[in-house]
Amino acid sequence: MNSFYDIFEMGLSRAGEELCGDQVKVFQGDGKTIIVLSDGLGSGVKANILATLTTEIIVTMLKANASLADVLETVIGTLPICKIRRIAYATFTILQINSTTGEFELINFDNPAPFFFRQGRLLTLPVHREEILGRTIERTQGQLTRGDFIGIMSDGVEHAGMEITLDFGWGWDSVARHIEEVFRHNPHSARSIVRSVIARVHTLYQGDVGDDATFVGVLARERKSLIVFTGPPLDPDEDDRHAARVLGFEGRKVVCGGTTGNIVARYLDHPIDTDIDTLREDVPPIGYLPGIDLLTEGILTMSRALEYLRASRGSIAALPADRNGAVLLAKELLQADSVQFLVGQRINEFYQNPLLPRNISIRKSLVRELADFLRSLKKEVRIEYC
Amino acid sequence: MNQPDVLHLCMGSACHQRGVYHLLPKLQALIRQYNLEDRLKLKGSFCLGPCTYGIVMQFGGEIIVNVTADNIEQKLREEILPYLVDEEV
Ligand code: FES
Repeated sequence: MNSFYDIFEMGLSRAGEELCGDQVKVFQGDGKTIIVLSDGLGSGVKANILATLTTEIIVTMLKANASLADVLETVIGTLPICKIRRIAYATFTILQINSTTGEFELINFDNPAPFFFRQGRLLTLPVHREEILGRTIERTQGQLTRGDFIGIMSDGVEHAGMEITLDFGWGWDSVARHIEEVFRHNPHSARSIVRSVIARVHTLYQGDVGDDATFVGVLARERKSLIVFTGPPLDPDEDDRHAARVLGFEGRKVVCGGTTGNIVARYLDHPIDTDIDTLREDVPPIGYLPGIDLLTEGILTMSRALEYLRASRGSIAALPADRNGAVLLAKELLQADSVQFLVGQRINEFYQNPLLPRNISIRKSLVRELADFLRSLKKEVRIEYC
Repeated sequence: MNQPDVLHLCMGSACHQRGVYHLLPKLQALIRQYNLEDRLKLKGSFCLGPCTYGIVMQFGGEIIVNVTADNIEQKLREEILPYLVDEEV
């Protein structure tokens, strides 16, 4: 299964606290995905430090392939116990996924039980209880298939609204029903599910958040890949080869640049059809070519798209409602899980225009800035120069 | 009736920077004013080549350069109208 683990986390700090007592750490690499959520007792600085310590220890040890038993003993042995309340200073949930096989394991120590949804339906997986250093942990194992969703939360979510809008808080079953409801609305993503849960938490607390509340969602779905071909290749003899490669790419295909578009058009022996209706004062129009999902002008469109992306903070809904090249480009980039930039470095002989800044260096720096932004959204980005 | 001739108006990076956005409505209005809707098809295009001499148009294989909102009517009358395929022919 060439699946992709779409991960999104969001948390609210207790009203009046700057630091969140919940911490989430995600590691992806070496064929595995590790997610740890820890909830430090209380709130504020102390809780934050305890939770940070917990997530750091766990992720660092698991990354180094320490056995789970060692990790748990280290963490539980390290964490002090609150003398008054007789409970551990930090609770945690660990999710480990084998990225190749989709096998996963959930370890829960005193956080609310994680959710598992298959095709939008809540599923109860068998839980094994184990004693480690006198503490009970819950283990669940399973196999992820496409469409599965795992939700991990701190108790601030479960208790949302307690003594404000609801006597006993939102409650585990109600959170699960809420998620099922979100699944009924297409299209969903880890982001849309998690945001919806946290928005509900906020409403239930009526803005006066009583406890740190964090929710992490993992959605297994098909990987969405995108290639962006921009700039003519250094060696014109390679034009066709690159055009063929872009057209044969498995995923969405975007071409940014008139000259680059002409290279693909020549290879296809098909003229570019320009859509005049998409011409804007600050964005040139888009064009159409068979097999290419989006064809735009280069520099101006990319720099405008970068502005839109930054202003959107990564949310497609926050992009301008207009249908122009830059908005469409920003949308393609946000929808992709992995983006491959193929950047041609030939000096465009036509660009001896004083109105345009030196176009090669500006193209490269634009691509780099786009890449940095996309990486900040945890997308996989590769830049290849040709 | 003949196929309408095609007039390409460059909307590439350089020509866009030179204000093709403002030229377009003017050109569209002129096409209506001269009753050319059936004989002249206006199309956008990416970089046509001679960016330095933008805004650029292409008509029947010929490149028309240095087009501005001010001289577009003159360019139309001198460099396009005389070469239009006549409807009656
Ligand atoms: S952009 Fe118009 S000729 Fe190059």
